[in-house]
Amino acid sequence: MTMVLNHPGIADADHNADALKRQGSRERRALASLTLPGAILIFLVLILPIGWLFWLSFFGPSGEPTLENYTRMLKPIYVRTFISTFEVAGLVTLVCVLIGYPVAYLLSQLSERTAGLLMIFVVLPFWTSVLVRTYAWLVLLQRTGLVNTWLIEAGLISTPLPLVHNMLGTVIGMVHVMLPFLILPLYASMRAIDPVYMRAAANCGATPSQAFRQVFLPMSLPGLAAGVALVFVLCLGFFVTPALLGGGRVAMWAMQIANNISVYGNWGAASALGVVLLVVTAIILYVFKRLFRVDGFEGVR
Amino acid sequence: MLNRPATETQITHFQRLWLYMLVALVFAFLIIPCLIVIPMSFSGSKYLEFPPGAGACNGTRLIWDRPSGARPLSCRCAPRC
Repeated sequence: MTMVLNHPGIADADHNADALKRQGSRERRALASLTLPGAILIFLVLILPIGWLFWLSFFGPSGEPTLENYTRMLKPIYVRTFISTFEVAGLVTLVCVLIGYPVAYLLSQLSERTAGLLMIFVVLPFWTSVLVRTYAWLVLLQRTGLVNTWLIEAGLISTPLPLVHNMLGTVIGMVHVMLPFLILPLYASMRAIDPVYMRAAANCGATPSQAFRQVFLPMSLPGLAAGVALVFVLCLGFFVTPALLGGGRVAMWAMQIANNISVYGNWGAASALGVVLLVVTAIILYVFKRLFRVDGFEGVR
Repeated sequence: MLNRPATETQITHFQRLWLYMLVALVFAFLIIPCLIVIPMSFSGSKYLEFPPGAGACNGTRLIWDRPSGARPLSCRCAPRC
């Protein structure tokens, strides 16, 4: 009896599964066709140029296929540049975290209105041209610049300090450019932390610093990781500020690429440098993603 | 005022005065180079300097002294510094 009753049910289920499968594949096709314009655009403006760059890197200056562009990178000058690029990027990222975290934290604790108002201080530099800001730093930091003049007039120093055309000037300028890139995602992720957790920690008898260390800090780490990855990767390919404020003493990877094109006209060598930078950046992002489980780099989870 | 709690964790404003000062310093660091370019645009010197030297307004005059066709506004009160 039950068998007889169940039988049509099973047939229906089979039938339904079939229809569902068909509908599912139809939906997938529709979605795929929707992403097609975007995919074509990405192919044209991203994949194609990078592929061309990759292709160029295997050719010498006179057009013959060679691996010379890659073997050249083992020379001491390139190795030194590579290391100093990572040193500068690491230092800038560290300074950005040390001074950016407190700012993002305080902004996230204020009312939306006040924070929005104070945000002007963060986004105004963000909107100003990097070149203009770099020249402004040159005016502030040079030998006869504002900072040195003030310090001498105040009687604190007798000879001007070498603040620019060296590592110090480069780091100051780069921190100024990169700080908003750290504060903005960090602030967004801190806003998403429910203040109820902090209240609960206080209720359970945690002191303010305990509540911060054990509750707030761990919850803000994904946002911090997103900001750090963004800043570090941007620093690796940074050109304008190190070139102007470094005074030739700070050799960055991007400056080697520019030299290869503008001085030597060697597109193959420049492409190879670009490919190496791209690969290294991809590896760093992948490691970061695995270590901190950052989903995307939008900051909020 | 300073002894009132600032957040739910009952930390007082006084206890985190250092945080306010640090953030104020960072804001100054961020905003000063952006503001300094405004007076610099009025500088007459060929070199980057601050405060703007003698013959200031040259940068601005450049715009005014162009042939009248290229002038953004038809105006005869060009600043003479």
